[in-house]
Amino acid sequence: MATLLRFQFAVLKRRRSFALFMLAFLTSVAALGGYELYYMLHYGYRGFTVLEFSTRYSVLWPSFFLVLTYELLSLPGQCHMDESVDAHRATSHRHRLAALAVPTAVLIAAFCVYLLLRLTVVFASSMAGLLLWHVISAAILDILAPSVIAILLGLLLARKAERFAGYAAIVAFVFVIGPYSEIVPHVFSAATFDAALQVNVYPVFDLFRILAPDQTWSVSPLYGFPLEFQRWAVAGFWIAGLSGLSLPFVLRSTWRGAEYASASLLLIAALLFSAALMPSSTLRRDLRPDATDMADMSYYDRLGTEPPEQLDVRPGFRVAAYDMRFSADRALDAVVSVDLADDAHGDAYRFTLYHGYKITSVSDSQGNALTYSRDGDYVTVRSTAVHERITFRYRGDGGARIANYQCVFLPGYFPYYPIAGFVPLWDRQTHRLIETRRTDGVPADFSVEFDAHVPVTSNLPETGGRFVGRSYAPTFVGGLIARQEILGHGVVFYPAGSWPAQFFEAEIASLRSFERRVGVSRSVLSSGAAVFAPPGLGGDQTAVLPDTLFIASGGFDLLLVGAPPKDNRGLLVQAFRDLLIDPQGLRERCSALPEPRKDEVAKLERLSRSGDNETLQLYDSSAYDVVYRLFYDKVLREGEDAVLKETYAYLMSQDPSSEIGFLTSGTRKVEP
Amino acid sequence: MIRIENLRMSYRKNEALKGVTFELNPGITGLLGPNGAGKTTLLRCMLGIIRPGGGEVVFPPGMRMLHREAGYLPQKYGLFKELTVQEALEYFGVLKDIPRAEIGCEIDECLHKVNLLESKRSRVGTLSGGMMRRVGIAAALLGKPSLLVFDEPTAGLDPEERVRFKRLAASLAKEHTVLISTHIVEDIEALASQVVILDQGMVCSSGTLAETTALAEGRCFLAPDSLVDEGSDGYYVARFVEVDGRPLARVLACTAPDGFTPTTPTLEDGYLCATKGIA
Repeated sequence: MATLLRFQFAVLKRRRSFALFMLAFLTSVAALGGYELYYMLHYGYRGFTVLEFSTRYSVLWPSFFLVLTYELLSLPGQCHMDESVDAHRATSHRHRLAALAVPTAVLIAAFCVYLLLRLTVVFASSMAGLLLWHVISAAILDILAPSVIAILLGLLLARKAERFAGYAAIVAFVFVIGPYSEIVPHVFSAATFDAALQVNVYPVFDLFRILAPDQTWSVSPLYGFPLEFQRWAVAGFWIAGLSGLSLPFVLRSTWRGAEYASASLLLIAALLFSAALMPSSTLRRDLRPDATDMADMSYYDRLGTEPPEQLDVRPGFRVAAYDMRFSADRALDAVVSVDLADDAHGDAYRFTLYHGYKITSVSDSQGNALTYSRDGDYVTVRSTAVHERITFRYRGDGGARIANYQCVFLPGYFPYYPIAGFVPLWDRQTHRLIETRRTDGVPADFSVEFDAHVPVTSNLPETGGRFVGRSYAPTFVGGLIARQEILGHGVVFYPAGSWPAQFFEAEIASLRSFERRVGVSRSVLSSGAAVFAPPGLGGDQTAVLPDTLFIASGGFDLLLVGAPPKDNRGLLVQAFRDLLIDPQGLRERCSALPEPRKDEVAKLERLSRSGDNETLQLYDSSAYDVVYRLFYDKVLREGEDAVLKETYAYLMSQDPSSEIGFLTSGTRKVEP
Repeated sequence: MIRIENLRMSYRKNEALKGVTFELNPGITGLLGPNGAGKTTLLRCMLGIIRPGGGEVVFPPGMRMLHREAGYLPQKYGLFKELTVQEALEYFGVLKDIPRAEIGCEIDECLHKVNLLESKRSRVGTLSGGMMRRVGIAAALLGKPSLLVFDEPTAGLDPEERVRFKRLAASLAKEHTVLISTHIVEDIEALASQVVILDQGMVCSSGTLAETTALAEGRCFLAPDSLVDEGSDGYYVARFVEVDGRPLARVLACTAPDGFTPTTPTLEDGYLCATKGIA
């Protein structure tokens, strides 16, 4: 066997086109990895900011190995060697194994180089504890597995397909697994978007998605590279299936067990195929209608049919305590018991639970099933009797609020457990989930057991494996996390992202400074509140709960959290921010602006009061200088501190006047 | 003696071998047949390259499996062009399970037999077609097989190489049982002691050279070409010849038509009688 291998390598080395092809590939691997290393060492970037770069080019791997394997294994046929080899029935498998060993050995060598360079980045970033196994797993799933699939496919094509058919199959394969094939299901979806029956061929294409999903817009620092169960199942399906089909070519043809081995592999492939089709919570960031960051919009703003109604119905009872048991595997599995108090529910208990979680049972404290109905996010448990405890069992997917094997992101502002009453979840004006919803300002006692494959943390303290405490709405975050005490707050952040711990220190400090300057008496960041960084899962939002803060942008935005969304205040917000952050710059810019004419101001004021979008756009494009100059004049007249306080009070108020109206109306009384 | 018994093979609905039975004796056996007769399929079935649909190959007692005992030179023969002759033969030596210590000597011995010892360090890609065929024979000789199977060994060779092959085959027949499959009758006439004629997947004739030639005894005639009608159902025109400057047709027929003169048959006449059903 060693002799055959030696000669197979000699063929690879002596055939110049093969040698150059291989050299070009190995150089590319080393160059991409080396560039990442250089990027880190020279610019100081770390984690996914660096590691996501070469992942974008992962299609090169299976493409190279498919061509190399096809060429190497069809070479004996081209040389008319096949028949003389096949005449050695008992040993001809050695020839094919030796031929197959060449791309395999090249793959092992290239993969080692790739992995070594990536691990160097990980170790040099001091992130081995956090990222070592994640990066190794991602390399296996995104690079090694597709390359193995390509080698097996190359073997089959070399046995079955002539040159033209072979290369047609190679091009088709590379297209289907590559990022550009997404156009096909997207066209289907777009073409049938308004039709009653929407054609969704994404699930079919998912079976060919053996590469890392397109992460063009960056990897989530909490989630990391997608390593979901479903992706492993798809990779396993192809490897087992192609191995089963190619086994007869590489095993001794006289061995009777070959057929059984082949059949067993095909059976395993069938099982993995079924596993790949099982419903799961998966991070999907493509253009499909139910992609992670599009799922809510598709559901709540759906066209053609009546969008789900957003209800606001008081519960008629209070949840005094929650006893919850969560398990994050392929999706979130939950058993939640609610202890009820102040019960005056009438004929039904009303709860809100995100529609992605499918309820399997509702029962009372004795375990008796209760009748319930579900309308989207709203659950109605029909019972006139008073129950001390109701238990819900459910399982499912929360869209961008993912809970699976590799990540948990269940923010308190999201109803991943039954909330008392019917609560509106979707803001049709901003097309966003309402993130500032609070649990009526009444905290409850929580006792939560969370079974996950990743470290999980919460704003609730953890004792003895349970998260126990009093909260308005607990948050659970798990994955590539770190927790640090910063300025009296427990801050949960993601070291592999671009927001280091220092960022939060600076932002919390600047928020406090801003709040002092604008005269806020009750900080948005209450004492001891937990702070969570944005997970980068799509639709990350700044959100404030009484005991938890989600920072998706800087301290200034936090200052204005809770401000009513008004279309005609945008320029004033910018000027206000400039005065807070860079007053000198504001002075220099505004002193050069001309004094606005009265008729111009009056005209702009009229425009700003329009409810029409086009008129408001016209206003925004022409009012910039006027608003800044008026704001500057106000600062000169009243002083910086007074203007800051007055403007903040105005921005946080429901005052119907426009920003121009505000700036021209003289000094107002500042609300305490 | 190796006995092929009732060998059958089908490609989908096309029956390539319809129960082929014959015996292989020491010396050279020629397997004759027109294109598409099933010769290559028969060899592949015998050697285990493809699994026959029925029948068997019966070996003499003590003989190993045929695919281990046979050296095979396929119709289209090639090697990795990037390897030297010695490396290419070593490659096949491994497939034949020749012990590592013996392989060098054996390669030299086989190359010597085919008169290519001086080219053993040449790259395969630099060899001529005839030399390539001789390397193929050397590869077939590796492992000292008792049976050598050559499929269309002289196809595409120039006359000099054909002569060289015939000499080589004759010398190999002293030590090996040799089966040569071809549709070129002259090659068999010059070499073989036995002839098996295959047509449409069936053995039409099996016997010695003389027995096969005798199939045309009394059925071979010469006639002036003016008397010959090529489309006639009564006889088969084998070829046109010139005797003493006169153009004549060599004709095969069960009974002599008027004006046709009987003549001495050749192996080709016997072959044609067998394949054209002139019995």
